Amino acid sequence: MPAKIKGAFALLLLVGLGLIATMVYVSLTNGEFDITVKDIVRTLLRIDQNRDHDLVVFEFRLPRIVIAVLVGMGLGVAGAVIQGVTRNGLADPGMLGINAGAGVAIVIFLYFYQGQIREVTWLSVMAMPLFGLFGGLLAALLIYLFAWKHGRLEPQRLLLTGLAIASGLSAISLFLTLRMNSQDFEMVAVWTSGSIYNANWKYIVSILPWFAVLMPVVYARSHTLNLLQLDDDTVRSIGVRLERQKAILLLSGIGLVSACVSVAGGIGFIGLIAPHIAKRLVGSAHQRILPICAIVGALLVLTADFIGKTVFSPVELPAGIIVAILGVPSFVYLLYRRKGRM
Amino acid sequence: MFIGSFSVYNPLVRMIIITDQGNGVVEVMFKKLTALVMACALVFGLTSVAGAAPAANSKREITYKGQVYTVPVKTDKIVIVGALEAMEDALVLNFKPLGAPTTGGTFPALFSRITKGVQGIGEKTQPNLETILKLKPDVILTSTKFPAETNEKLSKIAVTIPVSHISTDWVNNLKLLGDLIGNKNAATQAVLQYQRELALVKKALAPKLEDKTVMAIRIRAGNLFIYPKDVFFNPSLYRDLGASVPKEVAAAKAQQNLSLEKFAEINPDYLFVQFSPEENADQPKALEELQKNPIWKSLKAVKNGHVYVNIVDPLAQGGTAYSKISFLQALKQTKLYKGK
Amino acid sequence: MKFKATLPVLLLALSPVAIAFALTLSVVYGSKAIPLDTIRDALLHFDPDNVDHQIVRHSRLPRAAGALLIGAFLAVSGALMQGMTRNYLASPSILGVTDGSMFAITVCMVVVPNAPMLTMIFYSLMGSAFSVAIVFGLAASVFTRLSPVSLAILGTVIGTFLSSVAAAVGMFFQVSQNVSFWYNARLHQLEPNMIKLAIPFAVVGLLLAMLVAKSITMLSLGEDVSAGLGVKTTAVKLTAMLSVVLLTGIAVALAGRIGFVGLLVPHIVRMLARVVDYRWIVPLSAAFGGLFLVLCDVGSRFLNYPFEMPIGVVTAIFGVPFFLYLIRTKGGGMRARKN
Repeated sequence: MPAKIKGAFALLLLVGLGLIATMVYVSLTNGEFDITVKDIVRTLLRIDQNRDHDLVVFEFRLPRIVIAVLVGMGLGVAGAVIQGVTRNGLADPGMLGINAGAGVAIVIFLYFYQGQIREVTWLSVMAMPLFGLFGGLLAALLIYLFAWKHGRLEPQRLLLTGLAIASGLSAISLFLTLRMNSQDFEMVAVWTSGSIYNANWKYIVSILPWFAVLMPVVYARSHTLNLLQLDDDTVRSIGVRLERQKAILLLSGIGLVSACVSVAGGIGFIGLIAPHIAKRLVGSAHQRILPICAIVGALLVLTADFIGKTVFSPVELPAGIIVAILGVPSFVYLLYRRKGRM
Repeated sequence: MFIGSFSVYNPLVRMIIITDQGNGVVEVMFKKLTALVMACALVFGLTSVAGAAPAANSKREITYKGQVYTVPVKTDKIVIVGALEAMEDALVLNFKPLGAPTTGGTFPALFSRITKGVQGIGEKTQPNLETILKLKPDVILTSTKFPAETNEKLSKIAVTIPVSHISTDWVNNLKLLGDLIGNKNAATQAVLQYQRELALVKKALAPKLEDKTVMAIRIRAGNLFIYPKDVFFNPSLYRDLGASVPKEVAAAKAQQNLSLEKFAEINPDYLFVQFSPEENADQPKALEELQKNPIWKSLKAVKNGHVYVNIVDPLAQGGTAYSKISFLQALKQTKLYKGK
Repeated sequence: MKFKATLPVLLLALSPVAIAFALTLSVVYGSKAIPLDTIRDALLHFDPDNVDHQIVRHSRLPRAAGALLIGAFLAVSGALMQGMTRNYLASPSILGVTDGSMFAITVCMVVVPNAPMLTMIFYSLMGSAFSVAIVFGLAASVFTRLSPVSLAILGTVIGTFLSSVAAAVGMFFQVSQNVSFWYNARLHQLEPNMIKLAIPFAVVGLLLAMLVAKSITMLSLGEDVSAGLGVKTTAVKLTAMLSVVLLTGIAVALAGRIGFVGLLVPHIVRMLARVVDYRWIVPLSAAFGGLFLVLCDVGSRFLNYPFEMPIGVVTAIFGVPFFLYLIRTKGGGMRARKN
């Protein structure tokens, strides 16, 4: 790529990282508990060992920030992958049935097991994310298999199958949630809207491997994603090997989203919006789109969580709802500006 | 009996005591009732558990549901998180917590007696951890319904005890709070009073309930709901007062929506209706609409005037000490109890 | 235009018989066992003091009639949407119409806590109209050539947005589950006066649908073709949308969210009757939609005995496999086929 573009891209990356750093700073220093910036720095550097300060910084604020950044990155990148592979700018990772599958698994978990687990153990803390992860993966694989025809994965069919399976799964959750008492129902509602309220270090550790493995896999295939944007005939002439690359990309996307959904619930729209913003900023090369998607995603979730926990404080609203409320109008505006054919 | 010897500021409990003292027959009946022997044993047993002597240092141990919790000697700074059961217990013992959950940003009117000036700690679903930390509580009471990861976080702020949401634990729950706030006696007395009162009401109602169908339903958004036999006010009706369990209630695994047609088939003789807490109890529009329905009008309970609406605050959970005591009190004012 | 009319005529002629049969089933079989002669008495010699008579008159009859009407409304809406957008996926539940109404109901439950049924129905109607306006407005103004997939996704996006706002409001005021009840478990609450209320909407909506049916047929052949044939595209689309808002709006308001009827029935009609003319598709969809929902409603009483299955779950049992089948055969092509 030309040096000029390279320079502009580097600048953009720096600005993006700077913005994330600012948001991290804001999230770290603001909250219900009164703690001075100096105390936070002293706590972080382990100079001051005040128990309350440790709790606020290391247990309440930091895990949420880290999860927000990770989930935002994961969903943003997965969004770019899924839009790239399906060649549909309206595709959202949530539509691959992962959110719906994870949602049903969580409903089943809350309906049958909640309140029966007494001790707080590693397993009990991880039970909900694990249920969500398996539910999400199962649904995604089911959809993946349905969309497979004549040895070929047709992306449009993948999206539609996602819609169909999701509507079927939501009928199952409906059946169960109508029989829950209202407190359990509220829990499900919070989960399905997507919330990182329960962020903790165990969650972070559990999703890091996914990121470590899948992010490089995706990034290494940026070129494939670029190729896929060409028209059908060109893509076909390049050959069958592309099918395999497509499958790898999609499965990686599914893996990333499942990991994110397992700890953050059904946060939607990040994967839908981030690629559009990224394309406006850096054009169509995925080598540049992917990192910007990660940054935009992280910023969106960080900001949404911050708004959700401060605006109505001490009442907290799930981050996913804030993302939807802020994201959709801006998304529609983005589309309106482009006014192209989708 | 030493009933009058300590002061309980809770008007509810006091009312029971006064009624009781004014009735000499009570003492005689008291000995004859096996239920009360059980109650005594229960209370005695609990007293001995809670009586685990405070250690010499500033800590003591509390046993609740087989778990031992080490708490400070004085534990009157309590934050209640999410557990409405614990809020109701606090109401019975007239105890003001340090922080309590809000509904739509405010405290429900039911708890107004104990929430004046109390810090709201956010909604039930996502309590604000930093607010709770700021309050520096001695003990946090959560619910067994809470996700394990939230309980784990709370336990880093202070000793966190998940209060059981299962109705059969109501005595344990009340005793736990009594123990924590250093007023075991009040808790014991409240339980004892309830048992005694119950025995009387049960005896008086037994002939009226025989071969009759009694049900408690909740109306939510115009729908009729029934609950399993140990949820809602069902424990009061079936376990405590000994009414027979209708087969639909026995079949309900969770909150269950019932069509009016099905309900007409069950056709209960006595009916207790509670609104959903979100609905305005002063303007029962949902009920008014139901009352206009010809099928509703042709129900036995409706025809004979045995429908009792919201005799307890709709927010009351049903299986807790507060709910049981209020229900019993309210029941005594009904036609079902007073009538022939 | 000419078409072979024997098959559709036959189907249309047979449908009243099938509907009558389904309605009889619906009145005779309920959660309470009522002997046949009691049912006959209830209809002929009504005794207000008899619970069984009251059940027949005030629960089973309105419910059967309601299911018939609602099924017809949803199916006709679906047919119109599919024809108008040349999109085989278009249907009320996929395009986010119900979410708009859900949003309005949530607002209503918070702002007017004890709203009587009629007020709620009014809010619900407004909400449906609102979301239809947004989705179709965007589809018409921003994306001029929208593939079926993209329209479906746009509907889902707008729907998710509206339901997120509703969720935020509902969560804050803790009415989420009540909203959910309002939405998913209402068919058995139908009362005679609500059915009466629906009649004028039905008449206007169905008349409008029939009025534009011919033009919709041409639209469904492609806009270039229809313009060549002198169809006033905008006027036709607006009329069709008005009909959809009325029909879907009142259906959602009466019985809540019932998915798949609008998607599934028009396709079945096209398959059975082998027609492309909407002057046949619209009335046949009405007949089959009503029939389908009445039968689903009968099923809902027995699938989870002694309790009832939410009707949306029953329609999903048929709907999801059919949806998958459609995707399998029609794929996700950028343009919908004309039928």
